[in-house]
Amino acid sequence: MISLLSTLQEHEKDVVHALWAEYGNMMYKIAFSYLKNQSDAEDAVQDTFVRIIRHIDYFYGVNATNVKGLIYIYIRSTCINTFNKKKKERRRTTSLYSQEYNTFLDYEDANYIRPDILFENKSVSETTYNLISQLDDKYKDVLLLKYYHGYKEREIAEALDITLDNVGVRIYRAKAILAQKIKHSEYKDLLIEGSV
Amino acid sequence: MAKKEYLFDIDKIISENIEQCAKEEVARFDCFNNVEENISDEFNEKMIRMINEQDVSNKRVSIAQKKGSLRLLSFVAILSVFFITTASACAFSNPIHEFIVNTFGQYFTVDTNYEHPFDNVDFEYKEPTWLPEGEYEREIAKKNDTKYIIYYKYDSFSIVYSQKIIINNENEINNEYENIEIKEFVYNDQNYVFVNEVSSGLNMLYFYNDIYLYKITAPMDCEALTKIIESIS
Repeated sequence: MISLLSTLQEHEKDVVHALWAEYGNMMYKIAFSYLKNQSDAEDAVQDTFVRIIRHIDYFYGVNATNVKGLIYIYIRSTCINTFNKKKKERRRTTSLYSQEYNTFLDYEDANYIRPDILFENKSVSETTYNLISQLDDKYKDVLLLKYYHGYKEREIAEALDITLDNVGVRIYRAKAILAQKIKHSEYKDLLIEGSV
Repeated sequence: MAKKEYLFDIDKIISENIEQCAKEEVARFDCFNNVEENISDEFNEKMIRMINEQDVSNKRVSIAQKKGSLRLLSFVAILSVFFITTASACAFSNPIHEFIVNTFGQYFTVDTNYEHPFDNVDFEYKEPTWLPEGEYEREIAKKNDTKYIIYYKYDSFSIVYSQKIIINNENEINNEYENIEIKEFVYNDQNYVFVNEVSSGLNMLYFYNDIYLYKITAPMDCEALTKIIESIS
C-alpha cells in the first residue's frame, strides 16, 4: 500500500480502486457506527468517497498509515455533518422543539458504545497529546489536517465539506479549548507566564 | 479574549504533540475492525461500477456537471418563485436593511429581510483595504455564491472575510455556538449585527447592502471589525 500511493500517480483510477478495496468496508463500518442505519451509512460512504476522488491529489505520496488517518477524518466528518444536518432539520421541522429532540433517539442507542469511544476510555491519562486527542472530533480533525497533514485552510474546507470561515472558527476554538485544558492540567507551565 | 502570545504558544504545543495524536487516531481507526456490519455486495458493486464507469478526471467533470445541473435546476426553481413574487417588486427597490436574527438552542441564523433580484447581479467582489497592523498571508476560496478571503497571521488567529450574494432571505446558518451575545446597531445609517461568542472571544460582524452580505470573523472587538467592514471597496 505504501508503494501503491506513491507510484500510481499516473493511474488515478487504479489508486481509487485500491483505496476502495482497502478501505471501503472499513469506511462503512465507521459510518454505520455513527449513523446506525444502512441507508445513511451507504450515503455517507458514497459522499465521502466521491470527495476522496475529487481530492485524490491529496493522497499521492502519503504513506499507508497516514492514508488511514486521512480516510478516518474524511468519513468521520461526513458522519458528523450528516448527524448535524438531521439534527438541524428536526429542530426546524418540529414546532414542539424541546430538550427531548436533543437526544437523537434513532441515532443513539444506550446499549451501544462506538469502538473509538471505548478506545478513548482506555487512554484517559493526561498527557499533552491526549489533551489534543480528547478534543471533540470536529476540532481534532482541523488540527490534524492543518498541523500534521499540512493542509491549508482552503484544503481543509474542501476535505471536510465545510465553509472556510467555519474552518477558521474551528481552529480558533480548538486552540482556545486546548489552552483552557492545559491551564487546568499539570502542564500549565507550558503556557507563557501571565499570558492567560 | 485570548492574547496573541497565548495562542502562539498553543501553536507550538500542538505542533510538538500532533504526531503522537495522529498515531493514536490510526489505532482508533483500527478499532472499527470489530464492528460486525459489513458493506453489502450490492453497494460494493455499485461503488465499483461508479469507479469503472469513467476515469477519475472524467469523474470529476461528471460530478461537477451533475452538481452544476442540480444547481441550475435549483436556480430555475428559485427564479420561478422569485418571478412569481415580483408582483411586489417595489419591495426590492427600496430595501430596508434590517437583519432578522433567530436563535434556537446552540444554533442561530442571521438573515436579511431582503432578496436580491439576481437577474441583474454584477458579481463584483470586494475586499477590505484596512486590516489591523501586521503581516498577512492571503488566500481566496469560492464556494457557491460566496467568496471567502482568509488573512493568515503567523502568530495569531486569522481574519476570515466573506462576501455572499443575497439570493434568498436565509443567508447564514451558524451552529455549535455556545453562550453568544448578539447586538444589533446602526452606524452611518447602516444596520450591523455583532455576534460575540463569550466563551472564546471570537466575534463576527455582519453587514449587507443591496447585493451582498458581508461577514468578518476574528477575535477582535466590535470597533476593529466595523473599521474593517467600512474599508471594503
